[in-house]
Amino acid sequence: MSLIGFQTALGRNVRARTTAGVTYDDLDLSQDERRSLQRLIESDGFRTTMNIQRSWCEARSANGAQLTLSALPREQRRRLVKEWVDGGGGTNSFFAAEAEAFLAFIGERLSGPSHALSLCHLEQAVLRAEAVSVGFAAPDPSALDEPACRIGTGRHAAMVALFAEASELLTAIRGECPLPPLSDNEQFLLVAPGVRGLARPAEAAEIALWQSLGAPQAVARLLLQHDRGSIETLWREGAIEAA
Amino acid sequence: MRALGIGLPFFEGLPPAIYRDGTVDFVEITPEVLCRERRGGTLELLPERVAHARNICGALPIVVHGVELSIGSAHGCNAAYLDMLDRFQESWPFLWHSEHLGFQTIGEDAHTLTTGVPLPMPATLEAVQLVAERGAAIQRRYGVPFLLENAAHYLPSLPTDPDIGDEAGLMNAICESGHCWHLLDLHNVWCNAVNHRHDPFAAIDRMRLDRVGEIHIAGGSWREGFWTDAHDSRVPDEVWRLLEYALPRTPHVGGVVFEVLEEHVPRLGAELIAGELARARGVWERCHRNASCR
Repeated sequence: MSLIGFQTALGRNVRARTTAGVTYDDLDLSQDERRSLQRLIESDGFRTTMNIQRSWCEARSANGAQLTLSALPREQRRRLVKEWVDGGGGTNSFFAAEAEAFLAFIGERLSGPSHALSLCHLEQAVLRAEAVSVGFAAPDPSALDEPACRIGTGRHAAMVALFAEASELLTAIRGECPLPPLSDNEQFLLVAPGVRGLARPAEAAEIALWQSLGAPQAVARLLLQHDRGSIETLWREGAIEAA
Repeated sequence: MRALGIGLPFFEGLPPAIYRDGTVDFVEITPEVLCRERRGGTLELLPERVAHARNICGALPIVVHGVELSIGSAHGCNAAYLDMLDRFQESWPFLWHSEHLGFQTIGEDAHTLTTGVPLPMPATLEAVQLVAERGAAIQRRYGVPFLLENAAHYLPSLPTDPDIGDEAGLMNAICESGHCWHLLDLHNVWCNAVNHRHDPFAAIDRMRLDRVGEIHIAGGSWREGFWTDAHDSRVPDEVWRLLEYALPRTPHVGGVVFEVLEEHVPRLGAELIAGELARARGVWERCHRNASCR
């Protein structure tokens, strides 16, 4: 049996997690080889291999979205992981890549406002910030004095709205109490590569500055409505950057 | 192969003291855990994580134990892993380098698909030629011994060629023609013996023990009637007996490593892990006191 034929047939079956319905018509395999493969994939050992693969995929997925999944009812959590893994997810052993993909999948399926969607946005934001946090050097704020300087929100930063105090959410996620009701007062967390620990509560002035940057603005114009201190702080943390 | 002694994989979650108080003689690093995968598949080493690991390991020698190479994939192995390992070696030299004998990617329509779980190689001449050539090239590339770990698997009746015979024959042939070394995983030998109903001692007897450069011991658990290579428990007595048997017969072995999956480290705890390492050291020292060992 050719190596590529054997591996492709076995790999297709493991990925499909089925012992039926996978075709090898495009593979160079003799009738004897097809029968031999069929016996192999109908074995108890192959079934266990598939089940191990499935549990690994589920564990990788769940590991990448721990906060978000923790805020969901058990059945919804199970259904989301199952749907993702059934569609071929969970095979990437690199944490960040798997987590980004799974969180994007979850984010499309959650309605807002909800604690779960907020936490999904937070986990996505932390992954984006973390990707560039290694070696991040705070930019020199003197660049803000350039007359043509325009700034926008940072590509690796986010202002994430929570509908409860972060500490309350974390306590609930640890299972120590039920999730708090959705509050009308949004709490904003700033996530950026230069923030110590990657996330911190945002000041009111910083929230206003961030919200005014739906489109890039000239610094001179921003200074008419926002204080220089907030602009410099967000600049140094990589939360805003030159547009 | 330099005889180092007793080794442990690097775990951030363990108290650093275990790497500093003489419990271990060397550390097995899986560089992928110090990396991030970029779009397009490039593997980027994270300098802060590497520096953190180096700080914990101190002056202990390290060896590399990779998991992402997929050396047996017929459509091509993971070039991004090797590119990353080039950079890793520049920053933190290692005494030898090991990988798993198996495949975990397939090619479909010019795309590489990950199987999500490592799968075993058939014992065929084509598999020997492919892996031996790659192994020899890797050994030249890094200038240190390259070892292949025998796999645990649950599949019956893998394809075989009469000239190769079985898994032991496959490993022997690869080591011989590729000038590679064998990372003898005794827990995997035990798994396969239990699950495929053969004698693990006889399996060891058929291996080229003069090519064994490192030994792994580990624990596992039952699942659906199979003993699985779960790395979730202490080393079973049967595997300790295999170590007692194999170690004196491996004249070039560089060390014995106790493997645990990182997710099980908190539950098992540092004390249990240190206990298993101490027991391994006892076997190692008895063997080295015995003139017949070397």
